[in-house]
Amino acid sequence: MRTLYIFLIFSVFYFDSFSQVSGYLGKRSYLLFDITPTTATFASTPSGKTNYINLSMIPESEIDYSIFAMNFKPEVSFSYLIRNDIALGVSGAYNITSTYIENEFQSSYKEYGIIKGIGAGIYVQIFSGPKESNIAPMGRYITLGVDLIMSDLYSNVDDATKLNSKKILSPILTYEFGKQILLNDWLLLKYGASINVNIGLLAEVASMSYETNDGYTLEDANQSSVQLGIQLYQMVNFHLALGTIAF
Amino acid sequence: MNFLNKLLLTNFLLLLVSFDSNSQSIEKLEAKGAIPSDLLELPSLTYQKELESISESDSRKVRKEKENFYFNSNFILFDYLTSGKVLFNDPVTNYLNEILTNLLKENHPELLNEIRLYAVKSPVPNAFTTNNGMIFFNIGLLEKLNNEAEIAFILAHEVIHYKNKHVIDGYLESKEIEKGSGDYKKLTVKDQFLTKAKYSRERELEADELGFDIFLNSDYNISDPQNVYDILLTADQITSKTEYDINSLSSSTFVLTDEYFPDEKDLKVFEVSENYEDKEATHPNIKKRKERILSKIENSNIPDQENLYIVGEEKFKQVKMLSHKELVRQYLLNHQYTEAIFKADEFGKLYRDIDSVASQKMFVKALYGLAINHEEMRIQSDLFSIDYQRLYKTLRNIETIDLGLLAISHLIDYEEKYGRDEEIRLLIEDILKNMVYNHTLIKNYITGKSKLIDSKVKLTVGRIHSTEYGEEILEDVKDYIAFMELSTKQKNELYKNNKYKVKNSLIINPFYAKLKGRNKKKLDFEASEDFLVSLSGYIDEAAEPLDFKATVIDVYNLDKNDLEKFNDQALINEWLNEKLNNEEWFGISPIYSEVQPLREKYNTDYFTWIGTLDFKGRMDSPSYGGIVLTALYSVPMSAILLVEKIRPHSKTFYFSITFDLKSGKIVNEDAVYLDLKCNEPLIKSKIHNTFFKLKYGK
Repeated sequence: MRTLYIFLIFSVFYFDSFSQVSGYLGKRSYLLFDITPTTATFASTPSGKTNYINLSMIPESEIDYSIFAMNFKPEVSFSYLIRNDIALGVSGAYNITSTYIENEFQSSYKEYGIIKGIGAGIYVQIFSGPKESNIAPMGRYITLGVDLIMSDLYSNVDDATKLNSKKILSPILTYEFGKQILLNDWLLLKYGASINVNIGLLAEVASMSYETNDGYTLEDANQSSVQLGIQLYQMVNFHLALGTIAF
Repeated sequence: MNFLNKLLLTNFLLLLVSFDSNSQSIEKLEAKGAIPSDLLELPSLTYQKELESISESDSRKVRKEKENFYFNSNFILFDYLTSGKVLFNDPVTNYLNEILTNLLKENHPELLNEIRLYAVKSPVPNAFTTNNGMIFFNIGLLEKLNNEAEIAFILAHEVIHYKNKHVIDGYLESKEIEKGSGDYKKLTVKDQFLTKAKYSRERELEADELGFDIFLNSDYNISDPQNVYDILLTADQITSKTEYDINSLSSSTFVLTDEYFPDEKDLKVFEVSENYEDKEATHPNIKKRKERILSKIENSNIPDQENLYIVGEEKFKQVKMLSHKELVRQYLLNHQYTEAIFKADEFGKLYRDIDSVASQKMFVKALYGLAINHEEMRIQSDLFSIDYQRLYKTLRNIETIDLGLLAISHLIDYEEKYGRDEEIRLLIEDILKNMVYNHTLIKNYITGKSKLIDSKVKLTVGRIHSTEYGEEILEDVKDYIAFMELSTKQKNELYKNNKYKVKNSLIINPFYAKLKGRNKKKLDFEASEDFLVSLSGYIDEAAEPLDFKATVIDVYNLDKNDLEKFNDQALINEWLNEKLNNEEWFGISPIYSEVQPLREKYNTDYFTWIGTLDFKGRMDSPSYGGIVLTALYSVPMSAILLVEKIRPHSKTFYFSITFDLKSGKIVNEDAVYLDLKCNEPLIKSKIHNTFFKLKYGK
């Protein structure tokens, strides 16, 4: 009879879990270390080539180039559940975007471009599902956040000389979705994808429309390029994070 | 000393009838002593042991089938053994074992070490044997038998089923038939069914014949047990050894008149032929079985004995009495109220001197059950005795409202006769609540809005009023009416403000099952067992941070000395099954008074049943429309979404139901699908969530 009843409620009913305690066994906060190993597949040239950041002043139309780019953004985040299904969090990230350009006229010549930066952000993580319920911090989530990334530009990885004189600031809006699961009592795994919109770049593009050529320096060009790079490289990121339940 | 001898020794020490200072009553039938290893050993282990018995000489196909059989049978059997229905070391099981010992000690003493015999609290008149040597003997069959020799006769038959490996052979043969291999090529489905039935009948005849050989060598009378076949012929009928007087349904103030009784012409004597068509039956017809046995008797040189009893007639009578009482109890739990009334009446007449109160209490409980579950009365044929037919049809003829009044009237009669009883008070109140729920006229009468009411209602309410607690009941019912008349919004508000706050709860046999297969119909027994063994620990861990006291009793974590816990979980199992049997009205359990001591024992008024199903299913989102729209933008992305939608995802279904053990009502429930793989943290988290809601009344 009991088994029959289970299968009956299993087949016919479900009641939503209206009220659930925040956190895992009462622990509301968790730390995550997120590697964002995203190849920059979404940058493109006018000729349709991908994986490109234009760090030079060579007009794009005159070269046929581009091969490699990689975006690596280790990020640490701390989240605290303020409700059974909502967490607020802060994150800190170190960002490296690396690329090189191979010139077809001078095939031995590779021009490297490295963007290094640090960033910080705040976000709200909402655990939600259409029918299926979550039990935060486990389950499907969406995250809405704002990141501010300060970047510098280098000609290669080991070079300590910045190509720019002032920090390049990139405020980015992020929308992330994915799933978090607990592997045991403390080990948290997160995987998902995010879409990021660089509002700094939008402002840059807007201001560039009104600028004259006289005021447009190499540094400005580099900065624009970096902004573009960050925007494009970070437009879609895939996330894989491991973390722990804290307190 | 082997297990059986220990049982026999224990038997001498057990008193079958206990007396308290105030009244005589027959003790309850429940397991006693050390829990047998059959109920403690996990099925995965017994399965491993049975695997060793598979012979290397068997073909690969047969080995595979045997593995399947051992695997499924061990897990299913463990569930059955721990369901609470199976008794051990109790007077009935002990008595059956004594008979078995007498039967086998001369001829097959080696089988005494292999066979384990258990009485089962089931009203179905049946006995059956498992491949690994367990014989289960239902009290429903025992109650029908006339003497000890008949029991021995049946046991001898079951022994042969075990000795000659009928169960596994039957399984292998039916697999052969299904697959159409060997002699069974090109059989239609119908032919397969008939062939299986024929094979089964042959095995039954073999068990009859060879079983009778064992029986012949015992000191029992060999002629009388043929009556067993007559009993089997009418096994489905509810019979009584005493006459049932339909007028006993009337109470002191509610006299049933002729209008309620069926026309005598409509009551038909049901005659059963011994020589019925048995082509589709698993057992041969009674005529064939009787003839075989008669020819064995005729050909036998063994002189017949007079003995209908060897272990003892007194013991037989006591065991019959215990079984009879338990049978009525089981009928009440199964909501078979007509059967309960009929057999309670017989019990009262047969054992009036020993237990004067029991039959009356069982009778009023059955009437209460009928009053609140009248619609449940199943349509039955005229298969039964005339007395039973008359009772059944009368109960059907009485309108539900009158049945309620009749039940209340009998409940008050009972109390006037035997003194105040809290359980009776609850039953009266519950019937009255049920009546005001269903009948506006009675509701208006109780609240004073209307004075126009049937005189029977007036009389009954007046009688309630005149009882010691009449005012109390009527006030409670008025409160209930006031609640009924609230709007849904007001009710929700009231619920919100008056949430139960539960700080401790009894948790019995938390449930977990891993489902496999496309239709989620197969159980992954092994994975389920692993999880179940750990589940009690998870519950403790989930309760600890909240300081919630969860007392877990779990058959997967008992040892042989945990008899009390075993019996408590058996009792709650029965209580829960009865609750789940209710369709609309969650009434007072027929075993209310048996369960109440648990509240004090475990210091909680609540019982929580927790369960989880672990399975793979498809995602509900994204929708197919969404995927098509995505394809307009990005075909690869829509392909990924499509795969995500189609591929099976790990899912978890979790539920918890908390009951108030006193009122029997549900105080909290939760049932939810989780789009997550079922693992330890997830379950702990959900259980923690359940306890949180209970503790803070969320």
